[in-house]
Amino acid sequence: MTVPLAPEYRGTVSVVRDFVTRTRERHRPGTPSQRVIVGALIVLVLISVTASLWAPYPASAQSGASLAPPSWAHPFGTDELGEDIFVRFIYGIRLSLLVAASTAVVAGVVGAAIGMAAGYVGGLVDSVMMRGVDFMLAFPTLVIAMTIVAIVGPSTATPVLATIVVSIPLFARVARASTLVERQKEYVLAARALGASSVRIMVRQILPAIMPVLRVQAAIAGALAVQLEASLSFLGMGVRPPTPSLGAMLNTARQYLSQSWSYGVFPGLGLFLIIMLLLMLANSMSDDGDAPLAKTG
Amino acid sequence: MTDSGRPILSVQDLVVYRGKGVHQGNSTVGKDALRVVEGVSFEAAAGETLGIVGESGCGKTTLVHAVLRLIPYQSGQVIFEDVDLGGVSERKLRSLRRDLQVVFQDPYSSLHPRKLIGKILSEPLELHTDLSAKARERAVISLLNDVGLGASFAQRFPRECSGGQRQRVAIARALALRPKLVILDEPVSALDVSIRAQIIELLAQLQRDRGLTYLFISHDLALMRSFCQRLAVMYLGRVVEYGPSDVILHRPSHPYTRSLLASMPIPDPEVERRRNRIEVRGEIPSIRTPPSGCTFHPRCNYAVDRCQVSEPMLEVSDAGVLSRCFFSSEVAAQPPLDDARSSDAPPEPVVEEHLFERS
Repeated sequence: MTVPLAPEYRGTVSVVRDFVTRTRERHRPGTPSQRVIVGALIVLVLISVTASLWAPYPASAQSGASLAPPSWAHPFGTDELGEDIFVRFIYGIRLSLLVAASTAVVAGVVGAAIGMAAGYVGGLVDSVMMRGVDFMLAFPTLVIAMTIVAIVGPSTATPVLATIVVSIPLFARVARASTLVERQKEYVLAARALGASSVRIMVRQILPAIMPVLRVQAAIAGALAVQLEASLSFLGMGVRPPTPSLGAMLNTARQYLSQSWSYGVFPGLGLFLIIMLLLMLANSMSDDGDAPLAKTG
Repeated sequence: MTDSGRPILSVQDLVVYRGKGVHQGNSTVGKDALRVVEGVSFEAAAGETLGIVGESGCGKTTLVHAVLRLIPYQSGQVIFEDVDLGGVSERKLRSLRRDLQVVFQDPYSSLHPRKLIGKILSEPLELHTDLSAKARERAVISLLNDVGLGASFAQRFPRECSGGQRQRVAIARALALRPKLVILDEPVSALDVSIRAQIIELLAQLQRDRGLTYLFISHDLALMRSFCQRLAVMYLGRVVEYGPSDVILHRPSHPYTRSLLASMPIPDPEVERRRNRIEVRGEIPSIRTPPSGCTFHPRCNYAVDRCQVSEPMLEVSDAGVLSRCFFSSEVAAQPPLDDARSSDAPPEPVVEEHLFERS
């Protein structure tokens, strides 16, 4: 089936650049502060991901005296086993960023799908899904996460799985609320009148409209996930030693506070840095709300 | 005009409830549901414009949504090109929609705020055709030209356009699939008065060029006069008068239509001063508690006791239109309201004597 073109067609194709290209151009820039924050996060990612290429010591091997203070050889000092704290710090940051990213993406996709379906379809689907979400929100996230670890058993993937599961309800709630607002609007009716299916309307109409909200939620969920993974590891329910985790390092450092100041300070600073960057990103994105909408006029 | 050929759209005894507990194909509704559209019937012949006029809240937009099956209706039929829209599957309905398009009232909310106009206009083509991206782009430019916007509008966002331009985009979207029937739900009500004439002219031109059938919803009788061949006047969810628009607007057979006409301002102070005004008393009643009998009786100058107990049927009046009034013949026998307006002769110069007496 083709639609015949009007014979009086007079337009010049050369005038028109690709719609997609134009869309990307428009949405890319962000505010200056957002660019700084995202830039800092990218630097952190690059440093930690490439750590195995340049790190002077392996993550878990004795490389000096135990509990040595910071020095040129060991910038953050060494731990009780004589391992370099700086190297373990970098690997710990890598784990935290991995947790943040996978939670933001996986929980974001699953949670948004649940929320949009509940908000758009409504009725029984909405009730069932949202009662499930309410059930999960009723418990402290740490309790649910610890339950998951207890069921699945500890491994490197377990804390990631746990943070993803506890973050899904956050996305579902936000996505549902925004979907309820958007589905009232006439452009959704117009899409239905054009013959679009429900799934298509959710993906093509509602998702782009609620994307700014989801992005903010993703940054917040990432920060919460970093915190949750650190809590699990601090309690000994996170990744298994000797895999470096900032939370686990803090727990061990607690026993040596009187002997080594640097052991506890740097992992704590690492968590502070990541969580602060993510929350600042969330804050700046929610400040300009619909940044691309409000900016160009 | 009316009887030539089969109707392209035929609506029969349509009843629409809104509110809680309203579901498709289910005649039992919750007790809070409102009966918003009450047995409406009309037909639109191919190539004509059928107007539906009524006050705010009389069920016009609900009627449109039900005809498009965007909301469920409880009884009655909507037959579009010999297909009963109420009886087809969702899938079939989606493919039928290409012939049955709509332009909504508010061009600010009917276009996706985060999509380029080029994208908005190519969506219907993506849905219903297998044109390549390049061909869609050409079709979009051609559409933009047809509605009087340049190709450069393809790269604008809706927020970068004025209300009139947005409504042109909405019209272009409705026409993208070359539909047979276009429902215009108050297409100019949200626009500045200065823009309205342009949009109406565009709609008239597109109708001539493409042989479109329009279902034109409005509360503006003056617009109907120039635009529609047939007219249905709605009051509280019911059609109270239905027939050729030149007859209805010249010689109304229902007191409600007559009072609507009488309330139209005439841009001629002399005529305006001379003519009889008919007061429409009171407010439009709540649809939650509709009046007994004829729903118009609390506001009607002709109302007698009988009107409070029994509801009149739609019957042919002396003027040859359908009217839902016991006194349709008396109403139709009243002198026409618009003599002064319909005469083409220039108004005679009048000496305003009373103005001089005072000074």
